[in-house]
Amino acid sequence: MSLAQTLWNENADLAAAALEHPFVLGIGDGSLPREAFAAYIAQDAFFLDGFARAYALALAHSPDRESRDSFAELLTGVREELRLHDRYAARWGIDLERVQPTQTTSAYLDFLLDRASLAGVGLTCAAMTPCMRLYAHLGHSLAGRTAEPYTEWVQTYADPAFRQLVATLEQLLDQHATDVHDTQTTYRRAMELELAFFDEALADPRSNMTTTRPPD
Amino acid sequence: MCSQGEAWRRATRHPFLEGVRRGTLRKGTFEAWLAQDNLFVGDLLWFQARLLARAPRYAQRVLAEGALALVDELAWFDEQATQLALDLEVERLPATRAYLTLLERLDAEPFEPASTGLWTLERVYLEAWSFAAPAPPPYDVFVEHWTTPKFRAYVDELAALADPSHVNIVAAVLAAEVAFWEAALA
Repeated sequence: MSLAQTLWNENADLAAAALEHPFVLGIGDGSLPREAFAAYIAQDAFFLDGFARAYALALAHSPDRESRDSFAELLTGVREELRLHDRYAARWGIDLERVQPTQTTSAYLDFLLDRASLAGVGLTCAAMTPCMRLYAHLGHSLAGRTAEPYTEWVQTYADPAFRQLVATLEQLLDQHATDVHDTQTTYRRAMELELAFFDEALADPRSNMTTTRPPD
Repeated sequence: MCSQGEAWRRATRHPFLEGVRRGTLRKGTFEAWLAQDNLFVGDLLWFQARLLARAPRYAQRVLAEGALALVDELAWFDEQATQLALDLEVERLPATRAYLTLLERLDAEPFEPASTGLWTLERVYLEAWSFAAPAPPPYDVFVEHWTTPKFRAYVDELAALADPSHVNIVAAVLAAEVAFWEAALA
């Protein structure tokens, strides 16, 4: 079994907790308050900006041509996702220029960019893979049984093109991870931060928001 | 920029470029330069991707598109090398190493001087190859590739991120460019 698959299996408890998280359940049946979703989207846009920066660092630090091409593909993918967020933000009345990161978002970004800046391509992949794999898992699990207004969000992550990006990143993880213990620790930490991100989205939506209005 | 006119001229109208335009380079000269330029493009990708990682939002699109274009450029170098039966697995010459050292210095600069350095080197590249156009075979393919309207538009976009009043940065890049052409003729 590949290292990426082993890591995913080792974190099945956190993946299950994410799928049963009230935020995700609320996405699934459409009952999630719109304010909570808007607050989440605002923070996620901030997070994705950092995610794209981490991919840029991984591209800079790629040791061979194949990795370079793969990180270029992933950077292209995340930039497409950022454009999607811009459209979401416009529709949900969020001014991304005015969004400030919450403590949870900052903690996740600090962790991610610390690995991407200092720890080499292997641990950079270990820090980035959980987000991608988890969202593909959530998209796959919720697809076809979601209610409006969140079906479009689910479809983004259920898309085969997104799964392909996950596979690309997991291959890079398998190829570059050297220290298994550090890789496991980094991977699990990222999974925990993903759950914290959902927790916070439900905690106090209004504290995370700048300006919102109901979607059209 | 006017005070640096002579330095710009030397960097963009070098005898190496004259040799390309006239088709008078000694056999192997262009090929040896190409192999060094391939190494440089790899070093530039390192610099530019790291610059992208710390860029303000307004600068991200052009820097990302530029970094991805460098990835494509490296693949294009590989194709050309295959066609010319050229070995790209060479060691950096001193001028190429010195240029990498300059890129490392720029990497440690704040964003604006660093992006001014990036604009300078791309502007030199565009102007230099425009000077070499039109070139005879087998150089025509290369010169056309490095003088496309798309590349010119990219350099114009980079200009918006640059401030030529960082004269020391501009001068350092121009000197590195001249040294790089000189190495090709050595």
